[in-house]
Amino acid sequence: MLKRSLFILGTLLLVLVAAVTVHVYLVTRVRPPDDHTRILARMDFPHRLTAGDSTGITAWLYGRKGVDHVLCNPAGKLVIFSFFAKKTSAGTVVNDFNASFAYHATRHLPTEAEMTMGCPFVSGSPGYRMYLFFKHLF
Amino acid sequence: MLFFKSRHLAIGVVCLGLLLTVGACSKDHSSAPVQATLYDSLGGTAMVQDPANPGTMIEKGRLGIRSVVDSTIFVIAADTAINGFFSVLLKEVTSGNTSGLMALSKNLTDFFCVGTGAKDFSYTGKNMHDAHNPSTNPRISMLVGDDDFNEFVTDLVKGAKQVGLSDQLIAQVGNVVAAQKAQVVQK
Repeated sequence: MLKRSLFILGTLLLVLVAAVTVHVYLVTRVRPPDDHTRILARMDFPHRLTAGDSTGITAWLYGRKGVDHVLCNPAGKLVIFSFFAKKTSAGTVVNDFNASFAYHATRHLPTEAEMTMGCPFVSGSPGYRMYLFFKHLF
Repeated sequence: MLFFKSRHLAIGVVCLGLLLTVGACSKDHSSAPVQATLYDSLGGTAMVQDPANPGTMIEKGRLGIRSVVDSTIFVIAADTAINGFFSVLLKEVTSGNTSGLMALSKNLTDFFCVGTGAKDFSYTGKNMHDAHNPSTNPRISMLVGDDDFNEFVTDLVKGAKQVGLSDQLIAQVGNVVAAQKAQVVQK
């Protein structure tokens, strides 16, 4: 009787673990972007920009297909823009920009070290913690 | 037997009547005027079309907060004084098809919705003390200082102004953020 109960309990536990694993995978897997997926990108410049540069760059970026919002920081030598992932890519925008102007802009991509600076508002939900756990395992 | 059944039925009806009466009375007591929250001032629970997701509806209060958050995220991302804390913004996809921008926008919007008195949303992230402490949040590598916090507030005001929020509402949102300062600043 005890043996049978342990067997049923063990089977139930295995099924539950399998169900949770499948659920976590389905929720956290990387899927192709949809029509609403917006991505943020940053272009850095080797020198400070003037107000005129800023206006021109902003107008040019707004003219690109798929670019959603632009903010230029001339003193910070950078421009931030968001785009719809299904319409364009950051690489395309930056390459087209460099082909049109001689600013020698580069796309800024954070390093792993910079990513550890992290965002304080990272989700602390149980699902996210499980995702990190499984990511750590595999 | 039938007599007993009828009697029980009668007692049941009387009890139900009493319960309804008491319920109605207690409802009268609870109908005291409810004070409007900041969330109500920002649009409240009235449903409107979501301009970012055609065909879906969104609470007007949440839409207002999300507009301020998205605008502020841009200001922060362009602000070399604190954008180092927000490198995750430039991550293209985190999970599902959500980018760093969208994930942060959702988390911050949830946080401000709850902070301004929304009832239909919850913030599932860490509390402000733990979120800004490297010992409890491995995603943040250094403590936040007074200057960092003040810069965040400055960027929030700039972001809110860009979407046309009134000075009065900006001040109230500022109060929500200022109330967290002791939890966030640990340096």
